[in-house]
Amino acid sequence: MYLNGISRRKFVAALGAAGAASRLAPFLPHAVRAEGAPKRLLVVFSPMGYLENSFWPTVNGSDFTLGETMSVLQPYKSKLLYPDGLMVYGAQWFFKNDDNEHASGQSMVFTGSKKDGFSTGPSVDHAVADFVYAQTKTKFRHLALGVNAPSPVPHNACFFSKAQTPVNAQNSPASAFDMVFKDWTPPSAGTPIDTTAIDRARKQSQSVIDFVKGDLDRLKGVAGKDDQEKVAAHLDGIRMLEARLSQSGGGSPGAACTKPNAPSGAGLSGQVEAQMDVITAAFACDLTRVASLQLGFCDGGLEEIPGLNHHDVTHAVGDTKGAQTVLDNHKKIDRWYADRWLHLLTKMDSIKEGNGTLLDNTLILFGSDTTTGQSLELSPHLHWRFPLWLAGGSNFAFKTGRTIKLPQPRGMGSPAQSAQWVVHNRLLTSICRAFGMDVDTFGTNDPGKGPLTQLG
Amino acid sequence: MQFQPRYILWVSALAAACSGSVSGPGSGNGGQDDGEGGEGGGSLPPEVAEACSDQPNVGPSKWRRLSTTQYKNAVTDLLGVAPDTKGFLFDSTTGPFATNTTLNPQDVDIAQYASAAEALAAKATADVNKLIDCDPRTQTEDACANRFIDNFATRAFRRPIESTEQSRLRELYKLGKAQSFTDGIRLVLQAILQSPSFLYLVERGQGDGKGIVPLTDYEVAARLSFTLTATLPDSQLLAAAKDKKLSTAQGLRSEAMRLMNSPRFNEASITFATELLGLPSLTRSGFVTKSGGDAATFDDSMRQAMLDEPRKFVDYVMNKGSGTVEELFSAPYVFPAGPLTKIYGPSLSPDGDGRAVISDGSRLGLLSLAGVQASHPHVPTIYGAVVRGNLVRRELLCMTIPPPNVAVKFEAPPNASQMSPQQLLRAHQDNDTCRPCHELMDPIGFGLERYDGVGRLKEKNGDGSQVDSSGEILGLENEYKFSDTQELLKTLATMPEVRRCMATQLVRFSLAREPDDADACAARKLQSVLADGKGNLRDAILTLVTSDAFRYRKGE
Repeated sequence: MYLNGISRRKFVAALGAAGAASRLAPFLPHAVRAEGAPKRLLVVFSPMGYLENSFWPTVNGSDFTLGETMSVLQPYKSKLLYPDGLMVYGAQWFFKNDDNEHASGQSMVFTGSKKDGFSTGPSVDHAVADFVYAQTKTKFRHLALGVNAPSPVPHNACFFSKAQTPVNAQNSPASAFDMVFKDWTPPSAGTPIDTTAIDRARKQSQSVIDFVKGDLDRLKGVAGKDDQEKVAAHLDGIRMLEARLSQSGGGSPGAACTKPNAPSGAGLSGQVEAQMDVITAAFACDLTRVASLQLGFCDGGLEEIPGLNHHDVTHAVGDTKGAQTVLDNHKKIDRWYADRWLHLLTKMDSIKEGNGTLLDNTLILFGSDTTTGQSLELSPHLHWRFPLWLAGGSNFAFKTGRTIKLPQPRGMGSPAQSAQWVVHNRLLTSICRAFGMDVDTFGTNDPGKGPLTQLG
Repeated sequence: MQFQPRYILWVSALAAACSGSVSGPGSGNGGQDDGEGGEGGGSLPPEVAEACSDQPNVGPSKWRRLSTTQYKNAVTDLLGVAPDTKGFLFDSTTGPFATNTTLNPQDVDIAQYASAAEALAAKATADVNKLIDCDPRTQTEDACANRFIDNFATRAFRRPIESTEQSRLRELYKLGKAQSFTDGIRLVLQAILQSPSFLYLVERGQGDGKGIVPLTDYEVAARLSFTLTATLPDSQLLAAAKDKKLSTAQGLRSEAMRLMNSPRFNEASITFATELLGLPSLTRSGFVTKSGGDAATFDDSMRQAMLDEPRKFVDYVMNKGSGTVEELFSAPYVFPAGPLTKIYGPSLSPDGDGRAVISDGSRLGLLSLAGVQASHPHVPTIYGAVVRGNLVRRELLCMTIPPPNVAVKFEAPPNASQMSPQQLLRAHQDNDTCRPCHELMDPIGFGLERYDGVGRLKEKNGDGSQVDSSGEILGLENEYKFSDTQELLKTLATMPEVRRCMATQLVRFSLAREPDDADACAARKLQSVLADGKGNLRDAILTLVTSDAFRYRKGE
């Protein structure tokens, strides 16, 4: 792997192991950041939402009580923000999508765009990543991790780098760690002595990259339209390698930047938490400003509680008209997620940055494909009162520690009724704005435009 | 003749609604290919002829990026060193097959190639003289290097190296050699392993590459070797390409037959059969999981055994058996090695091939193997019959069931709590909104209810009721009823609809694309071959690789 583009192993081989670290110094990020933490965005997908009444906080405003299944998040209540009453507009069956609610919801939740295949627009994390990376040139433009995220097909994708371009997540925490950290050394105060060998290794790597680029350039000339896109995508990837080679690191790591240990987490929860740890450490060291985490896919992929099939349980809520045992099972699954969210928040909040923590400088958007309704209709796989909620980011994004009750009209069975709800594109637009993007709207599904003004 | 775009209508999908039937032509004999393109006319049976025009019959294709399996095999062939691909992202798919054609590469893919190339080049140059098979003490280093560059790039790119490539690789070598000879070779390796000419099946066709053109001999060689051996062309195939033997029908046929009779054909046939029924999901960490008592049974050694068994099974069917669709789906034997005795029972005694024949009809063919049943469903559910029925409907009948939408409401019967899961599912059939889709899945899945969550035989359901494995296959031109598992499996192995679907699956697998109208000519020829007798797979593949769809390219 690459240390600012050059393999650490190669350095060590070229220099002899002794003294390698200090000689690497000129290629490490220049300085430990003094103040002014970066703004980061993490977008998290988990499947099938939550059981409505036990998920949402009660009471409007700051004096709210967390939903019963989310109660473990109590220590971070002041860093949570619940916009209660959003509608993923356009995902409902009466819009005659090319797929069902699961897949439409999964495709639209972070894009706010029509599906028509995979999706007609990028997801918000990639829009923000493009914008931010253009200014920061961190080592990674974006980090896409997952646990049991499948090979993308139109039924199961939720993150898109651009229209019709689903993002394949790295599902292995060990490989995610290797990619980001294996050959990476945290900033040190070492003084460079001799850069000849390093320059040579860099020149060698550059020449290999040039060869590949040359090949791709020639192929562009002979490829048909579809294949040209393929070649162009490959070239983009090569340019990213090149950028890592030629830059001295782009980002500015915080004081708490340390190289984490390789992940060791076992089991499903261990895998999820290991991926969260990689993302957190990458943020702390400013190796990327934007990340996504995809857990499973719209109707499955995870067996959270052994013996409880998540999808079966959500269906059983409707089929049994809300039998207590079924509701209890749903809550068990929801609590499993709450425990993972607690791990993430705890990890991020444990890293001090300036007067606050990394969590205060990281906006986390949680989303899903559908949710299980109780108040309007006892049914799985709905899109109203959608569990899109936020954590962190209060240093630059939105005031946290609130629940905001949005209007919740009593119908949603037609496009006109659905349009009475606040469309979730508004939240996506607000998120873009929080990162400095000058946009009026995000995605194609909003019948109107503008940010979610209720966020203040 | 005017081409009728009918193919898609009758074979590939039941797209928007769960109604109507899928029908198609009956059997016939494959037509003869004159090797000149344009397969219409002549002695083709009418249902094939109507799909074939007298122009080359070929749909548009995209360049394929090597699948992870192909990449592994190719690198291992080139260097004798296996790559570490655990960080590679999933391949994109065509139908059930990892073809890596539908999606463009992303940053992480490119970074993975770079780090793999770096590690491989370092390992492979540990003994550089052995790698280059040349002694720099008797010949000059530069002479050895130049020869190595030419030979290695030709193998990796599956065609002769072009002069610009040659000079650029020599420059790279010189740059590295400023450090050491090994560095020079190492850089050359790194570059070649990351070159798109290695990573993609780059296809232009002959001439200016515009419109419909025949592939070059080298392009045909690459398609042929990756399709039939899941790796690079061997030296004999490259030599045949050099001699332009692959642009003649006879030359192509003879090389295809040679490859299909080589041991490497196993890799491709195993890949086809196991991907067809979703077995690779067993390799995905934490994806297929079991609960309760099954969780302990279903450990890593069991997963591995469940992956190994179908390999042995397919190997046997293709090499010692008849190599037919019928045997693939109805062979009365399993390979009960290691932990699998826990699934199949301790009483089986394997023969010299590791094979145990099961005579009571409880195991017949690939679908009944433990690994297939254990990975469908991948997590425990009371609705396993839906998942298994959908697997059969999708991969053996080539029909797509649209996912349900929220308008579908199932009102459980009042006595639901007293009903078994299967009774509940059977109740779906009485519900007008559920039935159109569920009747296409559940009644097939009932036939597989004899297998529990890890693929063991069971007599009773969880609630103590007797397993009812009777059901039917609906929504087709013909309707099929079966009274138990054995009848279902036997029916699938002989149904014309399954044979037709296998033709589609072979096209997806071999051409890495959904067959379009222009590919219908090849697909129908295949169907015609597979409808005959027991459905000989090698004959079908031979028909496919000598078809226009395989040998031509449609440019834009």
